[in-house]
Amino acid sequence: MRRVRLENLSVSVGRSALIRGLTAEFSPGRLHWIRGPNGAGKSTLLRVVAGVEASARVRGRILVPAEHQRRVTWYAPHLRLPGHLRVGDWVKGCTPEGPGARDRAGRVLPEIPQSRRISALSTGQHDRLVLWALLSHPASVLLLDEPFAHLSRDPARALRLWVRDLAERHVVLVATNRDSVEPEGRDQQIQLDGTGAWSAGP
Amino acid sequence: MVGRTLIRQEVLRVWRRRTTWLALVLMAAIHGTGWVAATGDDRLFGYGYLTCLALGVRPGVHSDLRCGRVHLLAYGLHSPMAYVSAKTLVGMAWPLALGGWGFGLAVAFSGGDVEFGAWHAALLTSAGVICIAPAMLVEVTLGARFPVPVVYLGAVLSGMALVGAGVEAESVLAGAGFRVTPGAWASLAPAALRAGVATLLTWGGLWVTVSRERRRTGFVSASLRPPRGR
Repeated sequence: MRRVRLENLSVSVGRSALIRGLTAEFSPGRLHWIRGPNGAGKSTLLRVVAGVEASARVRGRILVPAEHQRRVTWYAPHLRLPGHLRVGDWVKGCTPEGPGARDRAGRVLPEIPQSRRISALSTGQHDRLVLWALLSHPASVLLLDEPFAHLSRDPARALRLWVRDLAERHVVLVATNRDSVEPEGRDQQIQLDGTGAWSAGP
Repeated sequence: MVGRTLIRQEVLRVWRRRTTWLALVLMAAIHGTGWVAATGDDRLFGYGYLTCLALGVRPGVHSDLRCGRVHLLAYGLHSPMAYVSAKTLVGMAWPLALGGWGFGLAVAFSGGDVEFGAWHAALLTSAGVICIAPAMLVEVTLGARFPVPVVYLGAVLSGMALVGAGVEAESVLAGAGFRVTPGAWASLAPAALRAGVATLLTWGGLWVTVSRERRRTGFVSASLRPPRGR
């Protein structure tokens, strides 16, 4: 069953409570946005759900699909690709099978030279390579932390459409503090304020 | 994505590093000097190999952990099994490749003394493989860019401590698997056995390291059951 359910989840770092008693369910068919100002706990919440948070104290229950134990699509801005590889090496190793893969690459990675070393890419180009690889091989749960932060308009738009498409079949949580990213139709939002309070709504 | 993509990326990492090529040149230089001097002292063979190993072994696990690449590669794109196996395979391939290079040099510089080159290459390859597990441990725990010199230092200090405690030097060498007779292939068996164990330890240690990157504090998980009626 592809759902993620948080039951009475409380997260605190040091003495300050970031989230108190959060209960929510995330399922495919809609995009789930985690919003709030800097320091509100958006990234921490995604790390907790990803199972990679080391320093926060966590109480409550996180129910996840069985596959989530083995594979999770977790994107965070600090993820760095191996700098010794050339773009072509990375793309060749990550190109998925099936129709549409080349079109996706064409829209998301249009101008990045294949012969350039990854260590020589701009932040936005690098982030696009990471996102392209991760979204090409999506796990049942996708946790994306500020995925569009460094992207220029056209690639950001292409990636947003791609993420929305994936949300039809996968659980997708996107953390952002950008007001420019507007939720649509059936999207669900969880607003965090950093004091432990939260609100959920469409 | 399959494991061979990771192996290819690891091989490229070693291949494109300047220290790899510097190490190979240094080994040739040290080795050649030994033969030109015609000393007949096989320690020079060892010095060249150990210098090359010290410069060339950089598993990169520490930087993978620091930059989130373990999450990206082991949990996002591949699998922990593929990641750990690729790191172990390529980590072990480097001493093996050095062994081949050393053998070639020995044969070339000695004007065709195959027996000498083959035996010493086998001995030092075993030593190199044994080094990889502690080198990965040092890299992960201390973040050392060149972990092998730290391993050498640890080995020398441990040996000195044991000898200081009254253990005979011959026994220390035997315990490490290196009480060998030049040219006698059977005397290499203890070192080869330890190299095999070290390979398993490397794989196991990496597996534990990678596994610890998930399911940290407070993470509770369970499979959701489908609603009734389905």
